[in-house]
Amino acid sequence: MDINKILLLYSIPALAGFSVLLPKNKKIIGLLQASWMVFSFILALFIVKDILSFGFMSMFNNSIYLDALSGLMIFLVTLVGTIVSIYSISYMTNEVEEKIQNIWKLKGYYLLLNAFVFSMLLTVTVNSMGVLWIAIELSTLASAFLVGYYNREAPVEAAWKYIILCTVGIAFAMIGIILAYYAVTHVGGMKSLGLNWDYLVTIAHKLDPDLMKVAFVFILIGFGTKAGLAPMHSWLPDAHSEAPTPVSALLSGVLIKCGIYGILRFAIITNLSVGNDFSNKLILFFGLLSIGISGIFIITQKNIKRLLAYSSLEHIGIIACGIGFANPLAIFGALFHMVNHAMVKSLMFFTSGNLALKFHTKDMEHLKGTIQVMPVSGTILLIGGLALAGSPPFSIFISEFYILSGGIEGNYWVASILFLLFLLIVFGGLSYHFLQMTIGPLNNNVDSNISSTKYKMSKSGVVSMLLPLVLISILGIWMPAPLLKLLNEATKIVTRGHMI
Amino acid sequence: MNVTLTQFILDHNHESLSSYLVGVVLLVSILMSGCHRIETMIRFFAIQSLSLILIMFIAGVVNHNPHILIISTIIFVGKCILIPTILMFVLKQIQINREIETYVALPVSMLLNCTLTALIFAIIPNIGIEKELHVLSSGLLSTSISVILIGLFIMMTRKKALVQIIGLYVMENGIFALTIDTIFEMPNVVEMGILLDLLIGALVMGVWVYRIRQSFETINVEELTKLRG
Repeated sequence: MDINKILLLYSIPALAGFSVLLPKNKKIIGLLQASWMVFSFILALFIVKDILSFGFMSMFNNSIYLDALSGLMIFLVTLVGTIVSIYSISYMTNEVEEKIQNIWKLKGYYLLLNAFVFSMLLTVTVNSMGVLWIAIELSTLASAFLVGYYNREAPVEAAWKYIILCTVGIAFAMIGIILAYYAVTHVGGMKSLGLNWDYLVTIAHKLDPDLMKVAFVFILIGFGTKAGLAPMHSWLPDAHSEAPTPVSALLSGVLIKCGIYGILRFAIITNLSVGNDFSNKLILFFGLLSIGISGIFIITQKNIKRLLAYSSLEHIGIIACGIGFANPLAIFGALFHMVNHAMVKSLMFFTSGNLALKFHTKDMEHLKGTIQVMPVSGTILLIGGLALAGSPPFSIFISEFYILSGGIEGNYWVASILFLLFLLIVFGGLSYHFLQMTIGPLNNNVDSNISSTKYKMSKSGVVSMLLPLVLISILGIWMPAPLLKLLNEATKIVTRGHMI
Repeated sequence: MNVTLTQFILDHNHESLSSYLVGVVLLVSILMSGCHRIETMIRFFAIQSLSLILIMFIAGVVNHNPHILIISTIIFVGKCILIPTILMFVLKQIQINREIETYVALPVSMLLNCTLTALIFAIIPNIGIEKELHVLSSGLLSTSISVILIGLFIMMTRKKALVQIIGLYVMENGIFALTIDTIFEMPNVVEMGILLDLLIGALVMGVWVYRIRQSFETINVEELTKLRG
């Protein structure tokens, strides 16, 4: 029963990839993809339900291991995958009409999108750390084509930077995995199981602490590159800003969290072996650095998609801080923040994509007073921008508040104050930019040329923007019991290493 | 398994055999750092991979691993035949074979890498890892770290995109050497998966080199300066 479900979950991206090759109509291709993804999301909900009732599941000779942490990630990957697919229906048809005439290019897009989703599903469900490495590398290779989809100078440059930086980074992670495996064989652990996460947890207390410290540093650099933590973040703004909008949402919503997932899994083992302080302080340091650096770039930013990309850097820093505070409350907040950020960031990228289609520019100098030109997109931009910056009624505020109070509870005074300070800087920068864009004075020079371009919000665009908007508004005031339980269980798994 | 080859390895002193091969690996990577013809670099890469596979094969035979012949054959096909073929194909497509301008002059970079290697060989035995890690043949650990750093050095000092890919693969070979030295081999699934990733990686990066050539009419990565801030 369970095995069938997980097999089905794997096969959906493959099936969807094949089925989008067949039809000739652009709209049907998009609808087909969206319905496959909705199906996978429903399936993911059932899998999460199973995980919640059984605690953890391992199958196929232990090669797949599912617990609440992977359950949360499956939920996130399929949810963002669904929203992105729905948005792609209208966005990609528009793109196809405006720039790209060839239908095979569109089919290629959907094929790669499915490969990308598949590699991320593999990343979050496998047991072996080695296979996790392989899956993360696969996701880089699949998404490189999506980042450079438009094949002009800037996207090609972004894709090249992305692929080279992430591949080198991940090579470092391999060194870390080799060292950990060596530590296992050194204490006489079973060689065939030596990389399996569930086995590593059981023998972690025996592993050589010095070796594990070195291994963790390599892993943090390696997967940290993929997660986009500063100072390894330089691929992130380029890739996010040059990719097609749905892909930006996917990159920012889940891909960088897969990097965090890899770090988290390894940090649990390291904590069990070395003790609490080492890995958490390192993660906290990189998290604070990421928020600080993103603040500088957010204030001076001119391009709306790069602004959103740097805000991703900020949020990945917030998540890292939550993990680094090493307090159940803060970790709960960090995991909750992953969900919130994925939702808000998808929403914002979609809105910015609509603006770009209408105004034909990503430059914020020309994107002013949008609320007068596009009432719906403008309003969503205003609400989403405030939510993104972290204003109260929305769920991002709640998770940030959890993280901060966790940090204070854990007596990280200096780090908490810095965290709050950086957040304030980012809040100022983001709300300035978004207020200028929405209710600022309309730029007269471009006005005539905007009204001549016709852009109407389609149904799929509305649905894909309403879904995350509703979710962040509801989660800000009320959390459904299953999600609460899932987050609580996942928090317990992460804090497993803190008991010593 | 091939009986005569196994017998040959067991009859001879396997440590001195693999020591020769380790020497080849090190020598080839230093030569690569001072090489300006891209074609020659790809050949050197194939030689380096072959030596590493032979070292792994010897280690497997000595440790009586029943699958070693199959694994080494697959890795041989991937690393010595397919990846060099792909890179050669890309080279033919872009029609640029020489790299004249580099950030560090080639003879100087060779000298620098020699110094680096000498330093690593002097330092590593003193910090006590050598005794702890399982050493197959003397110097493989120092060699692997040197090769990783030389690969990084090639990536950082060269301007041609294709040469950066080769540098990346040199680095990967260094990691492969580290694997052989410390744990002999990864679990088979992981080993095959890594090879698959490398193959797909060569294809994908090859495509991107071609696209850079198409959009920018050069493969100098210093021209890639559109995106800032």
